[in-house]
Amino acid sequence: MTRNTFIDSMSAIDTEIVELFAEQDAKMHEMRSKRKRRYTLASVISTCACAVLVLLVMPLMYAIFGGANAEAPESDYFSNMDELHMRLEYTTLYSAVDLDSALSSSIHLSYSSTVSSNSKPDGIFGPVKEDNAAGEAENIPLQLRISTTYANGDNTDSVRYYIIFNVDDVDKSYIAGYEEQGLTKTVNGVTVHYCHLDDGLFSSQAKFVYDENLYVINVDAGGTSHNLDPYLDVILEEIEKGTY
Amino acid sequence: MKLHLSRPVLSDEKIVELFFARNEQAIDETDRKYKSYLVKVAYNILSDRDEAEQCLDDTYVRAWNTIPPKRPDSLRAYLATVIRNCALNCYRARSSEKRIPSSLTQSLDELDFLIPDQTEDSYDDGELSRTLSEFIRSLDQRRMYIFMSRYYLSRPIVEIADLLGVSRSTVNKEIAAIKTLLREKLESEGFEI
Repeated sequence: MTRNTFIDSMSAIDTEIVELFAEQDAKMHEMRSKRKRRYTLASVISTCACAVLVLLVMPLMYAIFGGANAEAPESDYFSNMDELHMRLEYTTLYSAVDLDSALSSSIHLSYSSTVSSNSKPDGIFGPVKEDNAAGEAENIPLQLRISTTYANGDNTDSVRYYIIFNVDDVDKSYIAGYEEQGLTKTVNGVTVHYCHLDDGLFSSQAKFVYDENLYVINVDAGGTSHNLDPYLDVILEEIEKGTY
Repeated sequence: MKLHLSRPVLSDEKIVELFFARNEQAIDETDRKYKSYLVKVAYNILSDRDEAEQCLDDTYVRAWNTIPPKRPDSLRAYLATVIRNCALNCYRARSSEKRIPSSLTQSLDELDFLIPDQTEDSYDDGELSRTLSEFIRSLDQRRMYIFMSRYYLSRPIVEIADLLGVSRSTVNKEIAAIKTLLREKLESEGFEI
């Protein structure tokens, strides 16, 4: 049997079958059109229902949560510490961080603001303030993060300096654990808690409260041992100076 | 501003009456009602839009020349048969030069296990047609529709699935079952597979 034989034989099948098929085919096309119309109608109804739901729910969500992203912090990047301190209107201990010899660095400040970001004139924003006696819009700093990397022999240390400004919100239960293990030292009246993690990554952390702010320093040493002290000591020397 | 509402399509009976009255509106009405359907039938075989349109024109001429005296019971079936034959003639002419990557070629490839021999054979077309007709009648309505869609109109699997409102894999499964039944039927009738 060849393909042509088959094609010719199919062409010569009973006309009755072809007519029956044509009738069935017309019905199938009609049913498909109906299905598509139904689907289109269902899509339109679903879209409208979603739109109505959003319109009804949004005011409720706004009422419950005080508006979309009302509490979401804003943030800014700074190119140097002077710029940051001008924004904060005071100097932090991190003025001692040596950014000049860092392989890379970034300074990032997040804050909550009662000023709409839309009202910022050309991206210029006023200083971040913790109080505002004049009753003007407030910009309350939440967290500062300075991410740096430094050369450590052939390797690289990753050092992150944090300040948590709303220190009252921080869970301080960690302190007992540090004190029990003797992982504390006091410098110029400031208690510093520190630890070295045996996680294979040579990660270390130091925490202390100074001037009502929680300072946190994380060091992931790139070498073969923990390397917190050189970075911590620079900051603690600032405390010893007692100029803040 | 005037609103132009589209006219409803005429029934097959009315279109055939226009043919009998030698009214050229018969061609317009046929074109309005069946153009896209007929072009698809030719395109499934030829995989060439221009040739499919050419076959459509030839189909209208043939319908004009044959109705009357012929009064088809199903205009849809009649036109589909005419354009299919026209497209098959083009297919044969072209496929002698090169393989045509059309839906017809694919559907025939599926039946390779039935028609592996490319040389001419001694089978009587009429005998095979009768066997195929019997076979198609023996199928249930759904399988008959799938068989005719695939092997008479050479519809792509995806289009058959769309028309039936089922998945492609469902159609493929049905085709596999149909092929098994067809093989059994042909063997039982003495056709060498």
